[in-house]
Amino acid sequence: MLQKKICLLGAFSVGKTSLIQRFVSSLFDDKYLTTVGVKIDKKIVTVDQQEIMLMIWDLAGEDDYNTLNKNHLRGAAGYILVIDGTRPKSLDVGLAVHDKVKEALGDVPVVVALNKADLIDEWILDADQLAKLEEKLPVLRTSAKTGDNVELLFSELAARLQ
Amino acid sequence: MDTDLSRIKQIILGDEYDELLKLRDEINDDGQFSKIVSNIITEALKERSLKDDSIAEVLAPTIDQAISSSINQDPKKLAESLYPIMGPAIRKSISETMQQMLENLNQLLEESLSPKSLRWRFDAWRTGKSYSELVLLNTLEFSVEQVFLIHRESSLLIHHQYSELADTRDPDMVSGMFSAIQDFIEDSFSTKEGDELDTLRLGDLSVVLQRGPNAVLAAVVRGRIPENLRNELSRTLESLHRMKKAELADYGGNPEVFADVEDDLRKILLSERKEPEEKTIPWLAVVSILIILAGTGYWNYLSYQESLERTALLSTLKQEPGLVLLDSEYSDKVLHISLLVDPNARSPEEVISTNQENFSIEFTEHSHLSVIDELVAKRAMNLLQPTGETQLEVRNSVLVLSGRADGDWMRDYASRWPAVTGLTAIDTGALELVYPRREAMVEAVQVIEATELNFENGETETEVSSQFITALSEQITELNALSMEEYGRPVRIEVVGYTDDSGSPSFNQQVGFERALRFEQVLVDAGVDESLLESFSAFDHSSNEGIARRITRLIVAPLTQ
Ligand SMILES: Nc1nc2c(ncn2[C@@H]2O[C@H](COP(=O)(O)OP(=O)(O)OP(=O)(O)O)[C@@H](O)[C@H]2O)c(=O)[nH]1
Ligand SMILES: [Mg+2]
Repeated sequence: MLQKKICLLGAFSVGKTSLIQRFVSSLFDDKYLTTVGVKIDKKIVTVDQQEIMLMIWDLAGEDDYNTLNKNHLRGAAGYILVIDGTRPKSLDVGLAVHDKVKEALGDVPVVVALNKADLIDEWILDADQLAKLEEKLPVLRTSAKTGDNVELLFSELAARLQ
Repeated sequence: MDTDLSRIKQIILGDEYDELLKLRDEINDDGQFSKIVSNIITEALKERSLKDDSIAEVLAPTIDQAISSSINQDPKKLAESLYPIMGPAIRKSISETMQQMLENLNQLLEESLSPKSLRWRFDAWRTGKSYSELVLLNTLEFSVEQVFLIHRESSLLIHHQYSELADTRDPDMVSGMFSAIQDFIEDSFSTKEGDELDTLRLGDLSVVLQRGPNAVLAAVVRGRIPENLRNELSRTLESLHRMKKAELADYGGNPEVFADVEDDLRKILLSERKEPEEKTIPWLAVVSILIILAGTGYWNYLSYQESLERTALLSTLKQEPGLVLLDSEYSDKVLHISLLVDPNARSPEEVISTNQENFSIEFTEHSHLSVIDELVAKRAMNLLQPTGETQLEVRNSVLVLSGRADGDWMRDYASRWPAVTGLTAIDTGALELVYPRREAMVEAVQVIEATELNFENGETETEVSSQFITALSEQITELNALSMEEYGRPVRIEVVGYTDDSGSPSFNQQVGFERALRFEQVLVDAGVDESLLESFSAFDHSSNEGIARRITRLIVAPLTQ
């Protein structure tokens, strides 16, 4: 079976771990436990009747104290950039991360998750910026809490992995 | 008053007074004075420390106090300063302690002497390890339970091999975590570039990581890490990088490409358990010992055979006349023999006519003359060259001649035998000497003396055939030659003329003499040397054997030396 390494990247507390947990174990937890270093999960997805084993690397989110460890990116076939709709700062961070990854990995497939879609009323994202992002990259509105678009998010990326 | 005094001082001391005042002020003023001292304090300390240790003594309590108060305030600070030197120091002390321990153990074990310890001792000698190290390795057990082949770049698991006993939980994730852990450790402890995590340990479980440019092998070991595991891992990795270079370089996540590495990885899985010693017959050892015994037995037998062969050979040489064995030495399948060889003896090679198969022989020969009768006889034979009718023998150094020998040879011989080394005397008692010339002379004399020349009565002339005379004269000349050869003297022939009884004795004498002269003349004419002949008249005819005839005949004087 084909195996691919993918990473979930983005600012801290945007819901990377939550999205993986939802996708892999169909669970959600309101408690916030920040990820230290890296955690690896796996799940098999089917793309065009072909099974692919995704090795999902959950990296610690970026914040003022913690910058992305490029070592963890090595060999990744694609990644999911997670942005928290309730925190405009996470968009800036996400875009910065995106640039960094491009530098490290080159042009690998990426899908953007605008997370916490269940809290869409609280979203305070700049519409212009959002439009620009959607022009550039495939964007999905997801919710780890409800599971909305979570499966789609991963299979979208899987489909893009060559 | 005061000012007067100062004015007087001013007048007496001039500008120096001001300077003195300034100096006093400086010393009295704490701030200024410490400035002055600060300029020279280092130099002063240095000077003093050259003289004695008082500075250290004075400062020690202060420094102690300073350190403890520093630790009380913030222990981290000191720890950080000490960290760079403490690490190496601790490592060194640990390794020294370990070394010490190993040495003690070594000593302890050295004193035990069981068959097993002998084997380990042998192994230690063979592998160049210390004995104690080997004992440790031998008494501990291990088991390589799992092997992960991981793509280095992506940390994806390429292949996983495990033993039935292994507790395998999601190897794919474990594989990723290995590199994540490495990254984590590198980040957290900012180790040197190129430092790599090579072993993880939890209780008695270890993960041994070996890295290649594109792949990582991780072996999970329970118990002691086998000594050659790392070698095994790097060997396998190397061969993988060789065989699967392209596949590893851009691994797309398809492990099927590597399905055929299974055997290679399986080889790494191994386990070694210390079973309790069973009391079984060590067949292997028994058989080997038997083989060794049989081997040495056969070898002994062979070398015994060989030594017999050598002894026989040497005694043959010893018995051979004319050979004197000086020394023999056997080494590396070569028998070195040094001996004395008489030139007339058989050569040693000839004596040992049989071919030696098991060893070769080298002779060192020195010549000598043997006094053994057999050899002396040979020597005599060579020197004296007797004819076939002569038998030659040496008995107790006496040359014994028998048979027939030529007189000439014998004469020569008498002067030559002392030249033969080893002869002390000669015995010719049984030797019949032959003189062929003398025999020929006797024959010639008979022919010559049988010759008679007849005369008519009273006549001194007679008719003789010239053929007869020629033959006779040749005979005489030859006889003379033989005589010269044999005795070194000419032959002497008397020509005697006879008469019958008729006539007077004096007439008869005259006639006889003339007849003799006449014969002599005929012979001389035919070529006989005149000096050989002497003519006589026979005197007493009646007494002359009854010969009273008109003849002349030849009488050869006795042939003696
Ligand atoms: N309502 C809502 N809350 C969410 C959602 N996703 C995550 N959260 C919450 O957001 C918090 C952070 O979630 P994590 O998944 O731990 O975030 P993270 O990105 O992994 O954070 P770091 O590991 O610190 O980088 C948690 O309290 C989650 O319960 C979502 O879709 N909706
Ligand atoms: Mg997280």
